[in-house]
Amino acid sequence: MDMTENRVLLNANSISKSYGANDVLKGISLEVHAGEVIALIGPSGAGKSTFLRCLNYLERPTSGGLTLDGEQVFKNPLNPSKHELVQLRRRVGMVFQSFNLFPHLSVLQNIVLAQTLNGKRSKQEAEEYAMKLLAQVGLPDKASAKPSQCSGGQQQRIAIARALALDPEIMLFDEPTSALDPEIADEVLKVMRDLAETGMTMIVVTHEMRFAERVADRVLLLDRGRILEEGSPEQVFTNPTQERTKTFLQAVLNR
Amino acid sequence: MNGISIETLFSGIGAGLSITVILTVVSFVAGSVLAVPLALARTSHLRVLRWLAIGIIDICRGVPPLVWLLIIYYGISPLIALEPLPAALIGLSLISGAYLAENFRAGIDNVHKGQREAAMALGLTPTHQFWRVVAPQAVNIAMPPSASYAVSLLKDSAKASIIGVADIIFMAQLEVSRGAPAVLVFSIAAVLYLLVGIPLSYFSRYVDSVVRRKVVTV
Repeated sequence: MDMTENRVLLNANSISKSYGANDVLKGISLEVHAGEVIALIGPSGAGKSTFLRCLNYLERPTSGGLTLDGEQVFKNPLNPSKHELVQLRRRVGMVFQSFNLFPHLSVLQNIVLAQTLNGKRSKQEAEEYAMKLLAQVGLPDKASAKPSQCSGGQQQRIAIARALALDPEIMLFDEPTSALDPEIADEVLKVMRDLAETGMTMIVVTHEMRFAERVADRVLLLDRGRILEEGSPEQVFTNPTQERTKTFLQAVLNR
Repeated sequence: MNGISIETLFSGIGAGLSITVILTVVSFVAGSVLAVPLALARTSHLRVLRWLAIGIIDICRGVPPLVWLLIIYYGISPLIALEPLPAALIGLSLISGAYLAENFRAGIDNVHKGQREAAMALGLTPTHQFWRVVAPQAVNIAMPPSASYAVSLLKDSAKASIIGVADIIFMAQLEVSRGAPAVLVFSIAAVLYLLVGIPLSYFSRYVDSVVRRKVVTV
């Protein structure tokens, strides 16, 4: 199932992030090819989420640069303009661990809001598209419900639909199933697997090793702000080069 | 004394009821309008604006309402011939503005951080992030304390009688000066406040329960 093209879609060049004297990311570089699915794994505090959030500038890197589809995202990466930030985020979708659906809006409005405010579609087109996406994530009958009336797994699928509504070129998933029971997590992982099969470029921070093994084209193991191990799922899971990787994998796989 | 009956007292004191309601409603509405820019300044990234808002809010809330009314009435009325009622409305609106601004501020601060992040991640402009995602939730959070503030505003409005606004208390004092028994007169005044205040506090509890059902923390 190799949908990967050779075109580099996203290039993160030596991303570093410090909070005071605490270096969370120590110069991480990553080339993401169009259609590629990358799993970011590693122990808590390794910097996985921070790195992911640097890719849409929810966290501002202390140094480093981004190119998207061959173009520099920011004239000055350390001082991005509001316009550049908005443009980047309209091309990069994100799904959060805690879903973050808007509780004051219906499910449909959650998916419509950014489409219309960003001038992407008219209200009617946006609603039609939202219904299509709700069907895609298996929740066509939830359109008029409030997020609070949906289960966690349903909320996360709605959040995926909301991000997809902007036709992102790449999707970032920040531990999308960590807040869910294992059974419920499966319904979200299925939607993500289907999405990967459509050729969507995805970066997924996850503790779901089975998902990483089956769906990812490439697995990156982060530890203490660095990429410790990188390769195909087979290489990383069955033939890791680092001792640290072995102990980490043993710990998570034997849970 | 001739002509004193419960009925005449009720209608005499009741003549002030509409003024009391006007004082409460107008100051609450005007205060809500004032509170919006104050709350925005209070939560601004610009330190100067934030300090300015804190200063205004602390001064408005720190001085007793009665003192405000006296300062505004005796301070401004010689300059522009201000009647008691407008002076009281100005004073109570400023005070409500300061209290409601703090409610709105708390509302804004208590919207979950993830909400703004989700709005950012969807490429909304900062203006849309605030007005379409944060503000509606902040208003929901601020609504219950604001509704209960309306009840205390109703009671605070009684102080306007000091500067000569013809509200319930003013009319009651008039009746007392005409010889009606003070305990009876002010008990009737109390009943009139309860007639407005109890429905208002039930309404505020209703608002609270609706909002609680509506804003479920995710």
